[in-house]
Amino acid sequence: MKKERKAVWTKHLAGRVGFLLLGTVMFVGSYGLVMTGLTRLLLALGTERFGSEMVNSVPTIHRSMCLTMPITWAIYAPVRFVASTVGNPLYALVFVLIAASFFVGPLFCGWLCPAGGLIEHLSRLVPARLKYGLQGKIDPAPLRYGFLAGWILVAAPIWRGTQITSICCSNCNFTWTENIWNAAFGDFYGFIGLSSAGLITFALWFLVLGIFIKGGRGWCIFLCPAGALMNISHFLGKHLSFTRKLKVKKEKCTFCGICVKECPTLALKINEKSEKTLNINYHVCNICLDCVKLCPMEALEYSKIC
Amino acid sequence: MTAIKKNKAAMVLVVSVLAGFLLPIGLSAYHSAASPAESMHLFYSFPSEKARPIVFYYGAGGIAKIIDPNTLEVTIGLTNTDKPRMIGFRLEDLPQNVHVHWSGFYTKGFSEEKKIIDRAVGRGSSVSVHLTFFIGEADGKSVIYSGFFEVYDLNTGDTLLKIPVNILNVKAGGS
Repeated sequence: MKKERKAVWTKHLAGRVGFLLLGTVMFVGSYGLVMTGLTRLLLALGTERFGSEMVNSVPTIHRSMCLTMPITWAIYAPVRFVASTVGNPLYALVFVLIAASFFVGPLFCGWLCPAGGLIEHLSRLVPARLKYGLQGKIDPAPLRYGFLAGWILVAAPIWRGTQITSICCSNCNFTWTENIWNAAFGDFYGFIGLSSAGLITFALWFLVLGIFIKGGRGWCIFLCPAGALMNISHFLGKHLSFTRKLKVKKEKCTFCGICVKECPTLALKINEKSEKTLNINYHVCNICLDCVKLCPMEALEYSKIC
Repeated sequence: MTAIKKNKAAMVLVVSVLAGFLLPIGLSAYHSAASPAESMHLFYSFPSEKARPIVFYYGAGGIAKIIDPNTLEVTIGLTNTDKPRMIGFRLEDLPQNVHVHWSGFYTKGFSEEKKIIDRAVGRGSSVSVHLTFFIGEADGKSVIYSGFFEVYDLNTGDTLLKIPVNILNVKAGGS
């Protein structure tokens, strides 16, 4: 890599790690100050019932900032979802992120997500010879959306009384993110009483689709329902002139393949049919902008349609 | 694209979607089969005179039991459908070979020592209690524990909810 490009890349990577730490503090660390303030406000306004709901819960991505359960509540129990959200507005967070993705893409995924970002950056520390790469070999979108459909289906009330049940909690990588950070601060409680589903989740999120896959974002692009919905929103929004998305400047691209090789979400592919093109898969792109910063020709940009 | 390549692409697409679709169904079924011997999340309302029993099957379970055979856990979500109250919890008739770790599971005001919540739980509010059972020597007994998890009003002492809890030893014929 040329010296100037390396400096740009290093600055970009440092920025992404910084945002990961911010996302970790926001979503995994105690958000007590915000929640205490909100609770006091609600109680002062006389909405004691709503205030007491928030008083009883420490906000974390595992619980009151959950990014998965509210999706199934909104589909199958909308009244319960609205009532729960009035008591804890953070349940609406995932929908705010999905709505925002319409305009700016899944920036949360690429920059703030404490679960995806943790594994992506940890995988950079694993030697390349120990990792397998899927870049340019597979389109994650069909499997991703198939999983999303199945994930939504198993949460349906029709399965009550059967062996099929929602896997929101049993297969939650955000819980493991919290367990890991708690352990880093000396609290190993999350590792007591392991469940088989939890072990499978850890193996898939951290190992098989995590640090041992090139890019470290295997879980994100295949098994994250929140990310899948954000990308659906992004895909729909990208057609509009006022929304931001990743674009290729065709006149500058030399098809060197660096972006394809380095993209953590397998979102880039060189199409070698009648006319060579660099294609962007908006169904998996998480706007990390690694490709923008790595491209020696500055052929990629994140902007609105001209 | 030739017809063969198109068919191959279509098949790859269908297989990918199906694989993705079947994965959560498989995970769900496996979790349901294993969870009564490992870890459960259950939800109740109080006050209530009836409660679905919590039943563990010690000695069964999935791959987690290879690593951690003697631990069972349950997260009990409790929603208050009545007036605001301060509440406490008890586990009755616990035998000596079963040790229990209590946790508020992100519930503010939960005291592990006193097993109470030190602030009023409002109407419509929910709290969680996480119990981890460490099973010692089972002594070949088919029933390791049969008791109750009780939720009571701290001020009046009234029982608000009584959940039967049973830990059955599958290896000794408990079922």
